[in-house]
Amino acid sequence: MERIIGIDLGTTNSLAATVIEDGPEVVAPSGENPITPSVLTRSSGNWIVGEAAVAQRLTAPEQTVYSVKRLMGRDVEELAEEIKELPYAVIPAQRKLVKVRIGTEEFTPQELSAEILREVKRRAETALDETVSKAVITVPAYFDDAQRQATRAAAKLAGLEVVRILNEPTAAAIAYGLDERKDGYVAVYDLGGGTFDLSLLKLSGKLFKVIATHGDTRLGGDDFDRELMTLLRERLLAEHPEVTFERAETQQRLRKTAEEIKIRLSGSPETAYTLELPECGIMPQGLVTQAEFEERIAPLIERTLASCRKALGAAGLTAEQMDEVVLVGGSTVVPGVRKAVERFFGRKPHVAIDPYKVVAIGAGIQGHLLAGGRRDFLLLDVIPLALGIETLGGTFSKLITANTTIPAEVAEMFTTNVDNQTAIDVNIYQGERELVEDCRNLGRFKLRGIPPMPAGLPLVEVAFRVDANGLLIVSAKEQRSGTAAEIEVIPSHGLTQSEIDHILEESFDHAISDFNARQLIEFGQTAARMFRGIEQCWTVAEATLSTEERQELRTQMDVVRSSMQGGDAAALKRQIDALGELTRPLADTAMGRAVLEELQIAAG
Amino acid sequence: MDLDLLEERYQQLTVELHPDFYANASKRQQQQSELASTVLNRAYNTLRNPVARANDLLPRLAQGAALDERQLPSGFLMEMFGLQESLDELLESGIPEEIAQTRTDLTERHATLISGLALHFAEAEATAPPSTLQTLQTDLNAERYLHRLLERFPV
Amino acid sequence: MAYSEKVVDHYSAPRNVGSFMKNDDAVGTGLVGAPECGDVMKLQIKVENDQIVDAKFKTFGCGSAIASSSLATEWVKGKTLDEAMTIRNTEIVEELSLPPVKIHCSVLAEDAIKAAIADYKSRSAASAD
Repeated sequence: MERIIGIDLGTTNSLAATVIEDGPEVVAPSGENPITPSVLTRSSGNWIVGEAAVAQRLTAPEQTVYSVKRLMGRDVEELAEEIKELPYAVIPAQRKLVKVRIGTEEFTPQELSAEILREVKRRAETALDETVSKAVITVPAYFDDAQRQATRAAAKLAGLEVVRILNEPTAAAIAYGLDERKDGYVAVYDLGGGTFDLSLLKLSGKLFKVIATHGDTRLGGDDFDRELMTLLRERLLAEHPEVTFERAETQQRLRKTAEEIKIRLSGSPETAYTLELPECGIMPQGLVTQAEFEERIAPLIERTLASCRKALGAAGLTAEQMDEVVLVGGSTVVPGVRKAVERFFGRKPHVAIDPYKVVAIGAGIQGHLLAGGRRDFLLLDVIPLALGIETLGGTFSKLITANTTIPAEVAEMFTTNVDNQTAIDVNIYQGERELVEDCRNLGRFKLRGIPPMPAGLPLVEVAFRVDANGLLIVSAKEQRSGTAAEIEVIPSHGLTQSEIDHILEESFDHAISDFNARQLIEFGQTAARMFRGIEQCWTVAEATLSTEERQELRTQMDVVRSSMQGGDAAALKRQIDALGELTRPLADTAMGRAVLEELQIAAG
Repeated sequence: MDLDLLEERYQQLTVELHPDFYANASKRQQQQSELASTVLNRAYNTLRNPVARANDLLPRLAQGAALDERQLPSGFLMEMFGLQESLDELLESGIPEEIAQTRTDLTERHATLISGLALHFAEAEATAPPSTLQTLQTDLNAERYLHRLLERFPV
Repeated sequence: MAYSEKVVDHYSAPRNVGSFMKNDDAVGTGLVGAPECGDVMKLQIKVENDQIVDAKFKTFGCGSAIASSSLATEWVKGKTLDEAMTIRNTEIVEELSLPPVKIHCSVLAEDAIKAAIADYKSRSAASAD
């Protein structure tokens, strides 16, 4: 049975989980934090991902990328607000796509997410001591097709086969449902770093059925930070009107202080802060109370409750009918959020499962099921937003309505407008509004290969299918002639297959050079440690080795040194091994042994 | 229609057919499972919704007998046009209480029509007199006009 | 989908929207509905010496229904009653390039013209009595 791990690819943090003998567990190398911060920094042509990159947000803000998830599957116009606030450069690319520019290099959000996934994969592989190639990756339930496609492309770039794209609140519901095994209605309130989802499920026996979902893919803990940043900025300007916030460093210090205040306010009614701004030569201090914070974030929380009302309305249920409310996502530890949720549903929310880990755990369990490891539950999910096509006057004609259980399919007939027309263009949209301009254009598809006939005669049946991943698949057939019309979907926000392939090809080339570069650094460090050891026990060497042997050792050290200057990691490794051989006689002496042990450890 | 029984059967079948249990199977089996689940979901959604169910069942019950698909209760179209026109004014005037009242009235009328469908169906299934079938068809025709009116109210 | 400019034009700027006095003997009113979707359409003609001198409509329905009725009023103006009776829905489909799912909208417009003419004829017959 090939393992399928679960990965929660978050705005702020990412982590992996899988089922091991004792049950579902988050996976990380022993003794390490299982959470990989979704932060990456570019350093001399290489990526540093996770914890090590976090510190770089302050020191190298323009090279350090965070909140990539907010950019996934979105275009420049949609991201106008976000781009203003981000310290790194987000630039327009072809088809309104965005890229992140660092120095002279440019990266798609898919490539950046892929780096995070690669790191999560690497850490999981280290922890499990096996290769991982398949995964269940979670996305916000309210992610549209473009955002899901972008996530799948990222995984592909990271060398992961996505067996299933799973909705985050649904993943949490799996973990909760299997934990509690109680039938009834469950509301999952999922507030993460950058997204909000509310999913309503009905648990009955082994079936976990999503009834309705609603959300906001641009609302999360990041926005809480922004409110605190505004508060700090207002206070600072009242005292120091001369301070500008143009520098990325100043922005990032403000952000970091805001984050710290938010975290501390989860545990105490008030907190003091010191805003260190060495670049401005000031260090303002102050106090923020929970009440002040809650007042600032109240409109944001209200937006989440509006989503709750919409989902309940769509399901024809009331808040009182919920048998349980499960809190998911790091932002639900904010006391103001908990209070508001409790008030809205009239019951204390369920918090027994770690809100940071529950999504990954659920994904890990789903991966186990998909791998064939268990059959004791089944999850039925829905499409979050209606899918349809543009019709007359820019109106949106819904073909598959929101909250339809997936997989789902609808067929629609199309015909030609002029004689001998052999192609038809159709625009596909996703959303809940009446006009297409208020919905997201997923792409345009071109029906080709229609046999030449008088106008209106061809009947092309186009099937719109949403698979179990919530992804749209379009296929077409001309009914009169029986020929399968060719269909080509041109994504509006995503990468085309050939673009993905191109990036993959490039990254394979890079992978070899990246690997070599990393090995060169590692071997160089090994050699340096060996040199230190040899120098430390040189007196032993003088006593035990002949002049020739000592000369040979010195010569080999020089060979290693010059090999370190070269670019061939494998060659360097050979010279280091040869050096190791020459140091072996030193082990024969008692004095040398201790030093040599160190040498051997150093040489790995 | 026993909705509990429908739910139970749906659950049994979906557990047998769902793609989640075929992720490791051959490509062909995966496709079949995806297709079967899609069909099952569509059937379930049709059966669960009284109007969709009626629209699906009526032609089967009629067994080829010609039903007038345009027939409406007498004066109905005129009434609908009048309601549409007054709804234009009402929605523009924006008096929330009046809008809410009109909506409640129309919702009730719609619901009465739908519950009537079930009764006629029971009758039609037992004896299938052509008149009952035409009544059903007429009600279903009328339903769409009422549905259209209800759609105009803001959420 | 690529709709013809004409259809978008008729949809975004429909011609002849409104009503005539219903009990005017010179006016014929056709009220029709599409059970496929619940659209309702009222089309009125004003007749002088068997010639349609003016037409108005009001449609509660989708864009295609609005465009079809708008086009129908344009077409009947200036035609004799007999000429107007020959207008076919397929001509509307062709003129507006309606997609198959919207063909019933053109049927609705054709029905509305016929109903209006029939109404006018029955009224004038009644007033002649």
